[in-house]
Amino acid sequence: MAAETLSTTTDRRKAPVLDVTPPRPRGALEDPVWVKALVMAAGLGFLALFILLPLLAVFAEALRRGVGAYWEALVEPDAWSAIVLTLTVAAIAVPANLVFGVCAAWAIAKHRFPGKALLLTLIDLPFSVSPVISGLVYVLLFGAHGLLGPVLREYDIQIIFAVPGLVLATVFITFPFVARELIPLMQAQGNDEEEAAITLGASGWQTFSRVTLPNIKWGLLYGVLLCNARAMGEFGAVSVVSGHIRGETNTMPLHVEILYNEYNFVAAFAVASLLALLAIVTLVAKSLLELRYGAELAATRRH
Amino acid sequence: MAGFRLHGAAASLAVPFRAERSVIPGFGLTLGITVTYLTLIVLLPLAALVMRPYELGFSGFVAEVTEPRVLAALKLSFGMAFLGACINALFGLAVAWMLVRYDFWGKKVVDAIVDLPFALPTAVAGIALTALYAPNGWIGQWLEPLGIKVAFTPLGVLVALTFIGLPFVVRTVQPVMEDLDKELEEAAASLGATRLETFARVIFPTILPALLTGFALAFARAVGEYGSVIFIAGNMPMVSEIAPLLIIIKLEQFDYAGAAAIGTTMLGASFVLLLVINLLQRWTRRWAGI
Amino acid sequence: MSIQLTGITKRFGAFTAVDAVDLSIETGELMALLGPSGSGKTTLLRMIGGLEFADGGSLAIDGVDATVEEPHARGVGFVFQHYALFRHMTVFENVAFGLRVGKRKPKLPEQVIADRVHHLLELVQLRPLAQRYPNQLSGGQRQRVALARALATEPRVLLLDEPFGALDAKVRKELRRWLRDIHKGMGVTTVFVTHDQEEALELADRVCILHQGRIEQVGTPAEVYDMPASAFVCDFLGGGAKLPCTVLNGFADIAGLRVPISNRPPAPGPGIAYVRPHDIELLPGSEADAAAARVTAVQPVGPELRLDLDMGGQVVEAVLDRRTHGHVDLSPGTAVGVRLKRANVYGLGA
Repeated sequence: MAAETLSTTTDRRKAPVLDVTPPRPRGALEDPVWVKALVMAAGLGFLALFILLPLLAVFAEALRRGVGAYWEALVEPDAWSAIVLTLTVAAIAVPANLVFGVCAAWAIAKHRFPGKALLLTLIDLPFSVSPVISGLVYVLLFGAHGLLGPVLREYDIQIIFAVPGLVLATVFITFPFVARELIPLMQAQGNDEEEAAITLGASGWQTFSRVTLPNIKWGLLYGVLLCNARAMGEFGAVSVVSGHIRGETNTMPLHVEILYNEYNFVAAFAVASLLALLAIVTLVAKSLLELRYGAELAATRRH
Repeated sequence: MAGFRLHGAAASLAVPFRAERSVIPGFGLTLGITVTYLTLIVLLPLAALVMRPYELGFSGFVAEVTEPRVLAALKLSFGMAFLGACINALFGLAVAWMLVRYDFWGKKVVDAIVDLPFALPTAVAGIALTALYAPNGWIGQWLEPLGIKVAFTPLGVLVALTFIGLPFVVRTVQPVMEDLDKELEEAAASLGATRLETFARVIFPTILPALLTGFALAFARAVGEYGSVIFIAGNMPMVSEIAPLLIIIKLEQFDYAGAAAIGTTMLGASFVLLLVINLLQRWTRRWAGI
Repeated sequence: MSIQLTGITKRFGAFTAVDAVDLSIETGELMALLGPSGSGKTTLLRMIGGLEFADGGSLAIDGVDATVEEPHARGVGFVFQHYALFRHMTVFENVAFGLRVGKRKPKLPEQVIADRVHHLLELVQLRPLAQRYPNQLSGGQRQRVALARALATEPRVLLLDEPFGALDAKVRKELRRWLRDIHKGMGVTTVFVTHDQEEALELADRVCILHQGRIEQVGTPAEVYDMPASAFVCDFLGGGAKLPCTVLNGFADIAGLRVPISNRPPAPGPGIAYVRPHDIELLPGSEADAAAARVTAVQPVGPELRLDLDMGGQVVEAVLDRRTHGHVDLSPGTAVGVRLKRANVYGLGA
């Protein structure tokens, strides 16, 4: 038996502390078992402590008083209006950034022009700005004491502490997601297919819809997925512009905060569990996309 | 012909803005939409922020951001963000190493959940961490007898900021480790280097730029973090009050200029970090030969 | 259809890719644009196709100015170096694409499209693969799909960018002959880009040799091979050994030998001579009009015998017929007499 003959050479690994691979001689690039055990323990322990436990805590706390209490917290009118508002805001912000992302990627990936590097940096900007600042800038523009505050009051337009403010802050926060996914993808694909379509007589729109779009659809979905997760879950930025008016300007994350501050923990965690589910669904979909269409997605995998 | 493109791209940065006529249509339209949208959504509002502290004057601005409570908050935000990034650099390296080098059951799931802090809304993370580390929480109840208080102290801030920055190091180091040329290590081994020497002298220098990039990204993210922190921090002025929270407090008092002053300071720090990250990434690319 | 380029110039930033090129391509001609990488040949082809627009000069198709015309209005078919097949479409849909898009009114009936596509797939011998996707095809098959797709819109001019560049040697040879046949059958004006001189000389009616964005020479394969207009052209087309010489009236003095000049002779004075391996003759012993040389290496290659000869410090390569020289002792170190049949000679100033 192969394992038998090999065992003579595996003497040095006498203590199988954490045997994760079938026994075979240790190659030159393989770590000693104790190193492997240490690294695995550190890595898995760290992930368990910082990711798995918090996730479990959300569901455990939500169900602490049983399914009945959990359900009640979700169908309560304020919670329901928070859910509707969150969906509404995402339904505006995500398509807006989708259109922007596609336009930016078309201009940047398919054309030569000076100032491209600067434009790319500016598109990335919202990623490096604190969420609170993302909300703050709109208060400074549209708030009662903001730059345009007096003008808005005159025409009786409410932006801050109203839905438009929530949408703006969310758009700001999720601004780069789609563009960041598409630009490297479209750059990697080159212009050949588009040029071929054009020499064959296709119009610009035909070229985009029949040639480019089918090639980027998974990358687009990937970007939209991440964009949507952030749009629905954003807290800091919307917290600044919302005004926390129950049933009116409370998104789900803000509703979680209010319930929590009222010591209504079960209800807070119940709403939070919905958001956690959204996160899990997003991660699963994202992983499936990466597994299935990894080659068709852009190589950059961070944010 | 590839040479032409390269020359063209390099040289085009030097000439004044002039879009070359391209056979692929829609350049004007899409660039127009991009720039307009970028200006309206991002640039103008940020300009409004940067302009606002002018009403304080320079000395007023300095007074505002050096006020003890503000200074304490900035110190806390930056200090804990730095510590959190350090923890992430260490353990993130272990996680990345584990995911790239070892095979184990459930690896794909572990790989996927690394991204949870990106996907989980910060408020949810905040209350979950608080529930864990509160004196009667799952973890807090074991730490309490040892005299360790996590929730409602600066330590709680550190826990939240470590959580929020967790994926950055893993996700920047992981691809570089995957691309690591096996022959380099084999060469080192054949030249008689021990495993530790190979790691210290061959592997580590190669992944260092990526590690630093991940560190900087985690740091930048943690400095501005709000949602996951405020629940666990306790928010005691001078002790566990983070800078972003102070901005909100100032806004609630209608001290717009004061809020903008802190905001501008943090924005400035973000810019410096962004610059550092860009340089690091350029270094990574050159180092990895991508 | 004829194409007339006048003073065409293209710059990328500070780099001039194509520099004031004048070229006319006749109706029905098969023209090769030949040059090393960076010579501007692909840029020139892309400008003819309307994929790049000239910074200066003008371009006319059939006497009508087309300098700023959009690609589809020029009636050109373009075959890309890496084929640029639409990866999410079947072979059939790829070929049909040009018949479906554009401001075509009324739309072509499906039956007409299907007939035309099947006819083209017949032509490129890919009819059975109509429902395959590009990633299920070999390189040679992709190339033929790309060609069928370009021909579907019945272009007046067919443009091919390094059509055989990505293929292995055997497929290359087959496709070359096949392209030649298609060109003959359809009579469509064809321009192709290549860096392979053998390909250009074998396939084209006329060859245009480019160097650093300028045209060095245009002519039939025989003309450019026999009478290279410049040292660059001679070198690029396999010039052979490069030897210093003195140009005299009507002949060149190379290492004391009188050698006839085969190209247009430069002005008398010092020059550079190129002697091709086939133009070197070995003589038994030492004769009056032969130079002394020594064999340094010998290598039989198929029907040929390749020799490296040391001729007074200069290494020259000679190719002999193995059947006629097989019995002669040419092992390294053997002293031989060498005669040069002809040389291409250029003045040092040129």
